Amino acid sequence: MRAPTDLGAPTTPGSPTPSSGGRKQRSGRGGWRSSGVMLLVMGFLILVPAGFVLLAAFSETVPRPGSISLDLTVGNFAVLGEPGVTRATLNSLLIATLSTVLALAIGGFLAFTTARTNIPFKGLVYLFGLMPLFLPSYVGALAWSILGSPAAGLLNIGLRDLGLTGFVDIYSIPGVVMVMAVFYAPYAFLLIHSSMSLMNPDLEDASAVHGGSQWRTLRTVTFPLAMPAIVGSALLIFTHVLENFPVAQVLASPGQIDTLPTFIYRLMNASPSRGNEASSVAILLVVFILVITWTQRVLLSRRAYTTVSGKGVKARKVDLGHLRWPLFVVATGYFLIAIALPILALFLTAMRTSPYMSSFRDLTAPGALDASSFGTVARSDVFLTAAGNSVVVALLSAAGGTVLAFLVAYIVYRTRARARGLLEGVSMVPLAIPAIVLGIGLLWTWLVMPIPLYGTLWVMVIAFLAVQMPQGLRGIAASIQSTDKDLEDSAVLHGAHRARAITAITVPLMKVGLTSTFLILLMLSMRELTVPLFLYTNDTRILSIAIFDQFENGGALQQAAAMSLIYCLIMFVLSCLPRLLGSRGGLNNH
Amino acid sequence: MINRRLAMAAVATSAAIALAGCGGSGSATTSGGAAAKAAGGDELLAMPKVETTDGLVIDGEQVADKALFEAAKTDKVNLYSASGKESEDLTVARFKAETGIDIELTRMPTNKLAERVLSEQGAGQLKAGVVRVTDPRVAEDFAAKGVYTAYEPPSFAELSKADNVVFNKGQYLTAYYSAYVFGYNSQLVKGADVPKKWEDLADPKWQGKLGVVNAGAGGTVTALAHMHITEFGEDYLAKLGALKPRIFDTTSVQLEALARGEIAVATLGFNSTYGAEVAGAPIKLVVPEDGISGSFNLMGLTPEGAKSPAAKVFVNWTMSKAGQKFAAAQGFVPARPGLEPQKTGEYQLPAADSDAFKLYTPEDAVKFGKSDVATWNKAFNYVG
Repeated sequence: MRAPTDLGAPTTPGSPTPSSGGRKQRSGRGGWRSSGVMLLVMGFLILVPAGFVLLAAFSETVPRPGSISLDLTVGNFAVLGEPGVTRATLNSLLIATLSTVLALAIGGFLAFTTARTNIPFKGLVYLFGLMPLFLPSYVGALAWSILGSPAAGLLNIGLRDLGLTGFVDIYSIPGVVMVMAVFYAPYAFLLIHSSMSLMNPDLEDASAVHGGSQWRTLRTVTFPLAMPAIVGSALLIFTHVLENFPVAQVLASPGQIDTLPTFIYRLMNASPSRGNEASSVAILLVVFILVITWTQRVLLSRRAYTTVSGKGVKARKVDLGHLRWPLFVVATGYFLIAIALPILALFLTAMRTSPYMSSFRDLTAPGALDASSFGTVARSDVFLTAAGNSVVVALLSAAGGTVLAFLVAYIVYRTRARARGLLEGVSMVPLAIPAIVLGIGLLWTWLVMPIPLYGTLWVMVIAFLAVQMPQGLRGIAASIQSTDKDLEDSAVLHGAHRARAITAITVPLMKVGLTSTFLILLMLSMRELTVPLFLYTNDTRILSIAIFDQFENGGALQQAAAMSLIYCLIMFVLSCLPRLLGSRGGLNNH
Repeated sequence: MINRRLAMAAVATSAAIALAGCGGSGSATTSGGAAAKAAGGDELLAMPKVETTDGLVIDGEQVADKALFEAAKTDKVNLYSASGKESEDLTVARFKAETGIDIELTRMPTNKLAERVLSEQGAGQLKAGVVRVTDPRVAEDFAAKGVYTAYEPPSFAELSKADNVVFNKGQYLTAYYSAYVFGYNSQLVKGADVPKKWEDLADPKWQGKLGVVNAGAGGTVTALAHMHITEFGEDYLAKLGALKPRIFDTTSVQLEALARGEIAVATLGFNSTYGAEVAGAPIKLVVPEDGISGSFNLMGLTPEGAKSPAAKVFVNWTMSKAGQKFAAAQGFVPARPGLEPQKTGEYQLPAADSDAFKLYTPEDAVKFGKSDVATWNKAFNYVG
């Protein structure tokens, strides 16, 4: 009922769950036992790799298996004084701020129009808001570099065909901001949509009854009530953009615009590698993200935002009047930029026989287009192996991630276990560590471990479990918080064992929350590029890596484009899975 | 209900894409990629005479004795390489075509490869049998850390006669030299505009149209920076930097940008560019008369490789006349002394011992590597 939407739902970690006040203590005895075990598991998954990164930041040499040095130094932090770091920091903050504002505007607009207005084709507009989730940001960036590069970009070629000078330059801060915003807007859309459509109309009715105009009601009641969703998605988008590597690498680097993640990547790839300094820049990024998280907590903890009550409510609708169609056109514009143009660009690139094109008229020449690249790619070993690996890894890590997140969420929100605050804190740590750095930490960890998992798909699964823990936990947390505890307790009162009460009552009640968390994790695993970048071996290439490899190492844009399209198709098919699982029963529980 | 909407979204869009995709795959051909075709056949270089009655003999030269060859047939070469992807694909396909032995390539830029190899080595999990790098400092580091183990291919005596080919008593070898030149998009640059000398690249007409790979990205580009500094002075670099060129992290991405016409001219690795040209990219190379930058392509057998017959055959083959000739045919300069000059398509590269070939030796790398990169970064206002 609530949620793929609950991705990143703002939680207030550590604070007691609302209305838990007078309840009696649960699982008082097992307080340390269950939470301690989970704490160990999460610590092992998350803190050990993070520890390697921290160690690297303070070491003379990169902590590699077999040569872990404990000669500590703060010398690596001298790199922070380099003008390049200052520039990269400013660029990162600027790009993240602008992208967040733009993404919120897009997401908020789509959410408001679909949840609360009579915009035409509401279902379609809802889809527009959702669809970019299925286009990995790396693929989107690649497509936009094909569309908007200054000399050979398709848009510029088109403009020149029309007799205009091409003026689109995607390799610029506005270009990067646009692509980031477009691809992160669904996060804002889903959260705000959920908040707006579940809003109890009483307060708005009260405003209207007391003479407030529609606009005034929206401004003083509706939007403030949606504040947790807006601030929550802002935080989520800001941190994601700040640590986004693929888009920055594909679109910012060519314009000589460094961001912190591309700067870290550059330091890692310098000759000789400057991994220690890269780690110290990473610490800077971590500090930024911690500050943002803390700010959000302070902002949201001051007031109560209870809008969802047990009663079924129907949110008020706003009549857009003569703005209905113009606003629909705006929404369609978003669809064009986020989905239609990128897909068309990839499609054209996959079909073109020559990489060079001076005018769209070239396409009419005989033999200019050839669809064989799809068949060649789809039959290639690289693709088949990578596709199989991707599906296996995504399914396993989504299933494992959902179970882990449920266990953690249960301990955090349903027990008084001593370590629950700590457990939640540890689970959220990956959010504060850029994927690019965590990837390296995970590589070192699993190379050093005596368990021979490195080089198998399991190491990818474990990496994804670690990296996606925050998203999993947030999804489940929102669901578990909105599920009444009394039913499970009644079962226990009537003699059921706690475990049975959980599996027979709480889990079925949370079915939608669990399925949607599974879906989110599945999509995230399918999309993830940065973390496996350091972990893959010949046998464990996954699709995102195969595409990156085709382009970044092979320069084979045509194959990369063809594979990207097939990749998106596979993601769509996979996204149907939770529905198939969910429809087997239980949906009617709600 | 959201689930249903989600599913609707999925179905609608996947249907759209599936339609598009089906239209595409209908006329698919079964060709296995330009590289494999070019290398496996006679396109780049006529296939040599291969005899397998007594081990592996190619063009009359024993590449593997009977025992080694038989054992290698059921084995597989695991090659980690930092050499250009396009040319490494060609080499791998050619090796397979000439020897019939299976080979698997993991290609990464030098620095990433070094990080990966040293981590795997430290954990005792190095999977590669043969590791190929383009930075002598990295090779030396590998040797010092035991990534490489001494091995003498059949041509060892021959190889020992040349300078800079056998290192640390065979712990690693120069497989061949890479030549770094420049080139242009043949659709965009024509006639009198075609640059001929390095000086021509500094022409203001290339403002914003020049592409370069940052000097810290690997051995070949550091070598080029060194040649530019020693032959033409820091001023030359400053002039190039003033053109506001596009600066790339890898040669592969730069090649793609050149083919698309995103840039018009670029400094290029000869071999990888030639591979792209053969594969149909609208790119032409220039072998400048005022000097070609040469750098090392170094290769060594790992302890894992010492246990792998296929890996040994790969090293033997690479240093055999046939292997060296194929390297030359795709745009490398052979390391093995005493071979006849070999054309690369329409181009002729100078021999390793010629004056025009400015080799960036391991000593140069150790002595100047850091300062060359720093000078380059300053000239191009590049942070890295």
